[in-house]
Amino acid sequence: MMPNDPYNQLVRDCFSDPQHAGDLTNEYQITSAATVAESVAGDRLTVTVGIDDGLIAAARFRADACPHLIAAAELACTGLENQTIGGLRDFDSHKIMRRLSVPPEKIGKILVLEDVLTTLAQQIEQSIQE
Amino acid sequence: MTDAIVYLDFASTTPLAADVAAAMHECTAAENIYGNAASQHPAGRKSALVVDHARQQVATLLNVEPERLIWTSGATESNNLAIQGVARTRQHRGKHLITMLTEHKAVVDTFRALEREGYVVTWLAPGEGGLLAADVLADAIRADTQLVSIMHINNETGITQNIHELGHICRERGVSFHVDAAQSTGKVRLDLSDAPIDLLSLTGHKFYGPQGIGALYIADFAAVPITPLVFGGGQERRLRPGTLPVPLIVGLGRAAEIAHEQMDNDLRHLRALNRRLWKGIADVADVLRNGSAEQCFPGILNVSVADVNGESLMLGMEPICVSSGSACNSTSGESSYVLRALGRSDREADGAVRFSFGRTTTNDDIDAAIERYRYAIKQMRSLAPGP
Repeated sequence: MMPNDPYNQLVRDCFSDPQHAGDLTNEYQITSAATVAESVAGDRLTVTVGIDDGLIAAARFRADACPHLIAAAELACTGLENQTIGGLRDFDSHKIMRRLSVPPEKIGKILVLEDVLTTLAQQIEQSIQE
Repeated sequence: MTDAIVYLDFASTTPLAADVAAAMHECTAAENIYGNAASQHPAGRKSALVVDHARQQVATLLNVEPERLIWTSGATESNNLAIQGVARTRQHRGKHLITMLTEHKAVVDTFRALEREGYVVTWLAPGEGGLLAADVLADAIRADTQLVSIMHINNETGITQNIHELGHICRERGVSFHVDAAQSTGKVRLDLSDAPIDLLSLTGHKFYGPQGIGALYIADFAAVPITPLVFGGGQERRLRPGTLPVPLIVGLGRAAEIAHEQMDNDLRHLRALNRRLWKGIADVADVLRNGSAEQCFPGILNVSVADVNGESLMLGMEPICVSSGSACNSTSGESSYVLRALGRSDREADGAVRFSFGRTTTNDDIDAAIERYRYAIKQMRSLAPGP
């Protein structure tokens, strides 16, 4: 990082070429999406997961958000694929924040991602029970 | 799209003009001028001579007597010296001061500091088109008002206040009038010879001079006495003591001389660039222009979109160098208070981009900026969740 550069290379890579941006295109046994909006700055994040045989087969996101949250969503979607549903609850935001060198004033933004994944886990668990 | 840096942040700082750099080099290397300008020996007198010449160059730009100028480190110091200096000198007469909500931080934070000391500040909101109406200022002036400080060209929007009209209001009421002219000096004609302006701040690096040097114009040292901020010597009429940075002063003087010669050409160039840029982005869906073409300095074009995160827009625009109204790009953590004072929403202020250009900007630079801005907006919108 150059002096004054608020973004490390991983943030720049995830921001400029997010592989998991967009919507799911295939059919899955379970498809679930959750959106959380942050009230102060107005950031919005949607994560959609497609589940087959208890595994997250695909994850995609959409965001109207800062580069750090976009990069965090990209890393989270990458990490969720091929995980069990429990992976949504086991999401380690601190690990992602360290990888992205998220500055302290941005930590609240990453919590938006945590909230989305928690909501997704609740929705999926509920739909399985039903 | 270009991968080369395109610099469109001239309102933040301008590149050093080659002729200015040459003048500074000549002073230090070729002429071997290094003496303390306050010393009376030959080396000191040699420095004093070039300092006097530079003072004359800046004075010519403003059409004032050179003795009315004192050197500072830049507009921030000049603003502090003018505002604090007048307020402290006259506090026994009254502690009321007036400024605008849309001033630069160097002025806003100075007034805030004075408020904490017990001064009373009236913060005037801009009216139609971001302008301060004369009657609004007249109504705000009280019997105990000591100083009015209004910026000439706004650093974020380019909105240009009618400082002559506002100055006359102050003069009629016997109130000192300070103008922060950091964005206008060397860019638009400023004839202070008959202007109702008591104090004016300027800085070199906004008009192709070096960083770290500026000046404060004081129309009448007796009529507007100022308490210095620092102490330690007799330089600059004891108002700004310290050894003068001779090469920087030489650079500022040369920059003023060039600006004086090239101003009309510069303005024509800026108007053409401004029209080209706005024509290239005006049809972007829901784009708003912050400040009309008629009321703004043509070297600045500030635009907003409400549905795109300002920080991501800035990153998406790299390698175009522009400024943002985004909260994440400010040290305060808030989106632009200037744009919000103009009636823009938080999201509109957050999604603002300030393009500012200058003498060395080309049509290709503008075209590259148009292409990148449109691309970044499209990318951000395509990534956004549905409503």
